[in-house]
Amino acid sequence: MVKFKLDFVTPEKLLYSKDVEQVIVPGSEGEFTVLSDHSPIISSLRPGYIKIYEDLSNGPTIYFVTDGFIDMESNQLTILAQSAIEKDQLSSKNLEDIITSYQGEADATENGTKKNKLILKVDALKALQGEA
Amino acid sequence: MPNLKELKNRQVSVKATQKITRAMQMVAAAKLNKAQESAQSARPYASKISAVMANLLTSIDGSSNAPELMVGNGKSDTHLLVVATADRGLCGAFNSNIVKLFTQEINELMTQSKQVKIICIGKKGHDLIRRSHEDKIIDFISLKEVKNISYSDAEEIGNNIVARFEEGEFDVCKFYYSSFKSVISQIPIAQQLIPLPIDNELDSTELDTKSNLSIYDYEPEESDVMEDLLPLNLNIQVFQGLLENAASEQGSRMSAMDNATRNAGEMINKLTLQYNRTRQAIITKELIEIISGAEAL
Repeated sequence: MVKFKLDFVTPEKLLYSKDVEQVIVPGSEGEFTVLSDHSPIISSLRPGYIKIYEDLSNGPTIYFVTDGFIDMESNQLTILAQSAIEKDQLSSKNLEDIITSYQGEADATENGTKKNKLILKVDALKALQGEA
Repeated sequence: MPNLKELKNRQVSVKATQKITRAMQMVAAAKLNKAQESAQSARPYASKISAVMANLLTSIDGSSNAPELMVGNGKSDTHLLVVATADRGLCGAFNSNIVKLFTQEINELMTQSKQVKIICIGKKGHDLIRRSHEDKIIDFISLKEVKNISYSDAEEIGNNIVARFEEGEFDVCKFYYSSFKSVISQIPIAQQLIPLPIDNELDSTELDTKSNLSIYDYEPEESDVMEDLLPLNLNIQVFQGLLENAASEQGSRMSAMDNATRNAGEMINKLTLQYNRTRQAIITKELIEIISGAEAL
């Protein structure tokens, strides 16, 4: 498979910078897969797992993200995540804490669209919790 | 002739000062390492998001419904100046350099009879600015309790700025901090946050690749993405600024303390010389007294 360049960054550090074959990202409109030569796209993310396949014959490296953006252009995928945790290090308690903090934020927000967004996030997180 | 005891005391006190400045230098050096590391590790994110923003700016060019956070609200009557300085002193000209740049620009704005509002980050700058512009300071944020600046600190400040912009409190926002070039050179800079400055530094090759990919797919709608992305970009720029500032502060303190230690060393040498000369003079004087006493017998 043809590889493309992936940069995965959080504000704290550059997490991952390698050539990969396939990345599955939790876009806010639904999960989608990015392969080489994907058309230029900017998408926001919803809480979920980013699955990075450096080599399709091996399993993916999985990161949990709550928020962020991806930008694909000229075979360069950039993932800008607010925070990222490796899936193995994500405990159910962690998830629970994140949900409560978002829920609290949603309850405190009055602005309609913002509140809706936060509620959507909480729902997505709860769905993840159900899976686990 | 100064008496010996006095000289000795002065020597001891300068030595004590030297010990303190040397310790501060070491501490600053250790902190600098850490601060430099975090400033550097934040750079990829900041530069990536700037690249994305630059892409967007070129593709959005000319459209009238561009978000105000990006292109401004068309006015420039009220300016918000956000000044980030240190919370502690004893770091050379670090704080005063930032304030100097700020003062220069605020005076310029005043002569153009613009309205100015100020947000101070860090106690030292606040103290300096308060003297002449107390009435314009609308907020003061201290990061004294924060050991390592995290993204959430910057987020709080960024959200504060965006909220004020949405309330229509100001039209243009500039952010003052010191960018970290090296241990001996920190350059105060003014970065415009709102509206986004159009980057002229992109070289032509970059522009070439950019021109043929202005057709982006947005998911969800372009306006929704913008709504999230623009505040995020602002937060990140603030975050990067604060980190650079922290590194600059430590670098500046380190070289200031290095200087102080060296000066103290010179002073100790001078005092020692003076002490020894005085001591010698006293001995000679006593000898002369004894000899002339003996001769008189």
